[in-house]
Amino acid sequence: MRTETLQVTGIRCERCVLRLGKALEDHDGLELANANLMGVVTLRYDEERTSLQALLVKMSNAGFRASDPVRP
Amino acid sequence: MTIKQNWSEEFTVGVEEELMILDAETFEQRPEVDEIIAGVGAVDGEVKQELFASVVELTSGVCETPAQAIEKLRALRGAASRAAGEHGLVLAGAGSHPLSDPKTQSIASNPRYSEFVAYAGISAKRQGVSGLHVHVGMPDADACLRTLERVLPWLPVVLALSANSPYFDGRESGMMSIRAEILGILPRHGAPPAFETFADWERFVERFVAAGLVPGYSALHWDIRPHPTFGTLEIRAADQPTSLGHTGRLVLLLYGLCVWAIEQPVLAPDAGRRGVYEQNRWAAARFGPRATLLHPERDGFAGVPELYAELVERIGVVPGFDPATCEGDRQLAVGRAEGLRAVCADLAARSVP
Repeated sequence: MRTETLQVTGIRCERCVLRLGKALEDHDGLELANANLMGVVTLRYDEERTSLQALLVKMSNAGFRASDPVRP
Repeated sequence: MTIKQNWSEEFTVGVEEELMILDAETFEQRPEVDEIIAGVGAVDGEVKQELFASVVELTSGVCETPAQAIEKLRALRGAASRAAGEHGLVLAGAGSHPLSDPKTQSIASNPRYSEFVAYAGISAKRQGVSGLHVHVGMPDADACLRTLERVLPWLPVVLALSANSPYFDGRESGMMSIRAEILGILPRHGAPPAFETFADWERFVERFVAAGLVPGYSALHWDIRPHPTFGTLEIRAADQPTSLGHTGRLVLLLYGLCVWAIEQPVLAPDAGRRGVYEQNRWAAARFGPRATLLHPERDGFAGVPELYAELVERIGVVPGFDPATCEGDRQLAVGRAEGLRAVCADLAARSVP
């Protein structure tokens, strides 16, 4: 299982957060997706069933482009 | 006078950091900002003068997200540190310098700073303090003022969490953010007046400009202000962090606060709101994360970690944020154990990304 925290463009309100969640819903291998108003998205996924690239494409298709990783 | 407006629908972000320039061996401040600017060369962002010649300003320019701004600042801190190293200097981020007397520091070679010092006198010469300024893009002037009024009551929480200036003029000041108090001796400081419309704000600026008191609205030193030329709301409440990681956390927090605030209903006028703000601002500056604050939006009071938890419920978790402490705590711990020069050494070491 792998966890990535990254930042996306396109989140302007609570509705955008819900829309991003909807875009990733039922994605095979995605264990957890958490987005917030800061545009910070945490993804936990099974590397054997999906990839970060596949998740980024899905988010991008919904209008959320990955920017940079968030370094704590 | 027409003030140029460049609002945009995107929530862009821009960040300005102010780093002190120190001698690498003695850790005293050195007025060599021009040498550092010349040594940095071409970079993505800007390296600029500030009021004092012993401070360098790094600006990210317009970014799409907070994380992008932080990555630009990482490169800028690196480039400026290398340029400083060429002259036997190091950079250090903090709200104040633990050792130096600001009155003895040289003013940068820009006529606008000399003119300001000639007018403001000792209140300008005592400004040996550094802050973190965050710009968030706004869609229009009304949204900017509406967001300002919603964000302002929460800024003492941000100040408390950013507090990083416990020393001034070689001594413990007794404040976790002496910077906030020192800013208070400037003209046009603290909370802005409560403007009902952007036209009111414009008239206010025009009056000050016509009187020759300010060259433009950028000389209004409020904790938060509209910046219509950039199309942003500019938030200037936080002390300058030492670690870039803490800069990143504060920028995320302020960005999220703006995204939340812009969707909220207009706040009804309340004569007491600015008074509550002033009390909370003082308490945050005095006690940092241990401050008890009047609740920003309702009756009652709460500690800073509790109020931070309320913000998290609204905007989400800021990765790595510990609301029980601030960087000023570390300065005091190092200073009491090893002395103020050790504090300076620690600040310099932690400022390099």
